[in-house]
Amino acid sequence: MAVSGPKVTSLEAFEASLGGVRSVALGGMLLENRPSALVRALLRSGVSGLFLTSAPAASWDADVLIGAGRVSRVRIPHISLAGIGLAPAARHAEGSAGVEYEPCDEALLLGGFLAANHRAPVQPLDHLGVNDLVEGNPLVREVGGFRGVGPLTVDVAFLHAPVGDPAGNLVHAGSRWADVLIARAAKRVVVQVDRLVPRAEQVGTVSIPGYLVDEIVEVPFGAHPLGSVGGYVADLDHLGRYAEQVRAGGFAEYLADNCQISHEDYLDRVGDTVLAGLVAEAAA
Amino acid sequence: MSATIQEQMAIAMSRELRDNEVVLTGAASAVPLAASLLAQRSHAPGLTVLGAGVYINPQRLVPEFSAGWDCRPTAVGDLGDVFAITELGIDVMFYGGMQIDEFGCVNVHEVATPKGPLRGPGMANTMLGHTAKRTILFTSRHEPRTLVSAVDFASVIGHARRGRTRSELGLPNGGPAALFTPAVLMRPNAEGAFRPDLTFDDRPWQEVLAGTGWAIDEQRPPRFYPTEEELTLLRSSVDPDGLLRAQG
Repeated sequence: MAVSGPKVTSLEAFEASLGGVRSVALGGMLLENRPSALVRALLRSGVSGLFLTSAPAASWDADVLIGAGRVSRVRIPHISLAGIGLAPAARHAEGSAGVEYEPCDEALLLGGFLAANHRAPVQPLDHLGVNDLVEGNPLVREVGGFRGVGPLTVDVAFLHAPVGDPAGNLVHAGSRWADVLIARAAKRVVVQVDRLVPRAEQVGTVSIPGYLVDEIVEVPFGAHPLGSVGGYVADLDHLGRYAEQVRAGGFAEYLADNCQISHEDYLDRVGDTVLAGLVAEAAA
Repeated sequence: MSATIQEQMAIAMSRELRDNEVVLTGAASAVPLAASLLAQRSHAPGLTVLGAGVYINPQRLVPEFSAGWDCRPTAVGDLGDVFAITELGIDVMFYGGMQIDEFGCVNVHEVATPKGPLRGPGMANTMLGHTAKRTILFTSRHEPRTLVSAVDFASVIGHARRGRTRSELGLPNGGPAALFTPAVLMRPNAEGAFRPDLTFDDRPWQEVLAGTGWAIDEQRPPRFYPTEEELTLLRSSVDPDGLLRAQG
């Protein structure tokens, strides 16, 4: 029986609601617990000119948004496909699409979320030290003899969790990374979960309470081609083919074949055998 | 039983870690993680390993760290914890880089090319370069493009930058203590310049000289050899799936 509630939404309704969105933060980290299905919905929505931020390390999700020309400004310390290599579309966009990358590292990013969390004008960063990233960095503020960073807020946080319930309570199998910091820094928090259950606390310890979540949508394998801890690992073969296709000039084709289709069609395209393999790896 | 280069690097790196220290390995760091797990299972049982910062004392080497594989940690933190430990400091931080220079400065941000700056992946955490008591540097490539005389952009500063020493720059703690490449283990001399200390294979020394972007000794240093016990422990306990053997 389908689980329902006032916070429960669909990918279609989510996609239709994104018209006025100007800034987005992506949860998870690198290749795990990333909100890939929400990102594909954002791509389908046609929204562009976005300010994009994330947990400190982003991957395929940021790369497709940047490559598709939907992003004008980025505040993400690290974007890559981890062991697969550099983020291919973002690298290409750097030279041609006029994307502005704000130079930042983990402290400058997380400090911004923390300042927003505390409604403070600045988060002190007492150990910034010296390097070429800090020197002359416009994000660094000097207040009362301290250096720090100002608040970072976004219109919408996109999060992923393996399990959630209609009240928005989430259960993570691995780390919740920066999801709590991001949720508190966002005006609206939307979560995709692999599995929606009546009561999250009956599945595991609630890692993010429902009061931080505005909308929740059930999307099985929603993190694919990235991994969902406790459910399935990242599809490294898919990421390798993606990188190869983009480098060969096939980004638009990738986008059309993989992101401009429904989630059900996307999963059909990936195939049950591949998905079963990713599940088996996560359980190993 | 002969060890692959990656296995040798992991074993030599494990000897750099001491009992009861706290070490952080990055997300895409199979060799440093294997080194840390090996140290825990040999001479440093009290070592605390922060895998990707949040997976505390992982028990399993996985193909990719933050990718959904279960590394079986004994505890799990989040990035609020990482923010705090970055400010508080730990004992050891591992850094890899697109460029690493003679004085151990690391660059993952931007490389100068004839066509203009080429953007790198960036770095999540630069502050541990000076809030950790020491750092250990590593690269999977021994080539002049990676091992440069001076980095184009210092994401993390080593023992000196543009003629100024670490202390002149006001950076606390020891900085980089070792640099691992597939060819050699280098250590800083009295001026903080990295010089080969041990070799990991028998490749022609001329090849090592050509692959290093700064002047190093013409004389080949001694060869590193793992003990049978170390290699057996690595293969049986830390890396039974042979991830480091598969990668050469």
